[in-house]
This record gives sequence, structure tokens and C-alpha cells, in this order.
Amino acid sequence: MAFENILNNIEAQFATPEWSANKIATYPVNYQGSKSNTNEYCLLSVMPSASDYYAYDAKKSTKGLVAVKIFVKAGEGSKRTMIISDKLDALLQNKTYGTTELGTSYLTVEGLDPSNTALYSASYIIPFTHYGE
Amino acid sequence: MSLKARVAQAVDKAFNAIGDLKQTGTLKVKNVGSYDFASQTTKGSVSTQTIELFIESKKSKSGEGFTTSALIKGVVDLEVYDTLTVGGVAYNITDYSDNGFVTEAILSKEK
Repeated sequence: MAFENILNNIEAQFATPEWSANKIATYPVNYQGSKSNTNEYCLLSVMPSASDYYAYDAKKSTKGLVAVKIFVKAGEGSKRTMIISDKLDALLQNKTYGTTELGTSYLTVEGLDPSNTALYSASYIIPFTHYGE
Repeated sequence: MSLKARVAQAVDKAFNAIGDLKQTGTLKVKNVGSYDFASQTTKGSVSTQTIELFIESKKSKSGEGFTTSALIKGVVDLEVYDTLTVGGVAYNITDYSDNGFVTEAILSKEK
């Protein structure tokens, strides 16, 4: 259940009024339905990558990354990307949800999206450690 | 008669001319408009539509599922969420293109 619990703990934050109030369309990866705003949206990926035992009684910890790919309209500078990243920081950075602890974030600016050059993208990355199952 | 109407009439004629090669399928269309992070499910509506189609070809690699190419009469908006049932076989839709008169769909099915 560890993997599902990690996803539940992270995805639940995007259903909270705190995030919804930002009115930023957010979808999980592997979503292929229509988007409410095709000029600005975020794609959420939760990527567990390594696990270990952190106590002698075989308690498992799982590490990984939460990546939020931010798409904004091309040609209008990078301010909106930074604003959205700050809003994600307010939601996720150094927070603990259930037994999932989130660390400090960083941003990788990618530039124009190769599959749709009307969009400019950046990836907001934040590591997590989940304790237990 | 406009050129568009003339081409549409020709498509009707062609689908009538192929007789029993023409098949009827049921397209189950799921229009997904959002994702609910609270319930972790997509939200949308499901509707069904009866369509006329012609199975052009079917190919399969050893040990894998198969893909089928079908020509559908008229323009239908297909998505990955949709399924098409023809002759009791349910296919997933992986790719499609249309020219305003007929739709060519690539259908996939697991083995």
C-alpha cells in the first residue's frame, strides 16, 4: 500500500480549497481528457524511486520525487511560471501529509514545449520520503 | 449541389456499394472533462453511438495483440477513453484521422 498511500497523500492536497483557490488547472500524468485552460495548466507526477528499511523492526521508507510540470502561454516572460511555483511551494514545501514528508523544491526551466510551441514549460520538483506502508 | 454535398453523397454510395463488407459498430464515447483529485477519478459523461464502418486490415506481431484499421462513415471525434465494439469484439482506439467525410481509425486489442 505504500505507493498508493504516497499518491493519496500528495494528490489529496490538489483537492484542497487552498490549492483550488488558485484556479490553476491541474491534471495527473496519464490524463488525456480535455483541459479547462489550454494556455495554462499543470501536470502532476508522483515518482517513487528508492526504498529502504529505516529501523530494525523492518519499517520501510520510500523516497522519490513529486514533479509538477507547469505550462504557461509562450511569449509572455517567465513571471507566471515563478508565481505558480511559489504557490506550489506554499502547498508542498517542507510539509508533512500523513506519513509523507516533503523536502525543499527546485525548478527546472525547460523553455518552449516542443510538441506545442504556443506553451512555455518548467518542471517544479520536490523530493519526498514516505515512512511505513 | 455543393461540392461538399456531392462528396458526402459519394461516401453514402460507396458504403452502400460494399454490401455486407460494411459492418455496424457501437461506439462508446466517454467525454472526459476533468480529474477529481479527491476521488482520484476522471469526470465525464458516457454516451453510445451506432456507426457504420469497414474493417480495412488487421495485423498482429507474434505474441502481441493486434491492431485493426477501420474506415468509419462520417466524422466521429475519437479519444483514448472511447471503445468500439464490432461483431462482439471491443477495441480500444489508439489513433484516428478524418477528412471531413470519413474517419480512419486505428483500433487495438490485447491478445
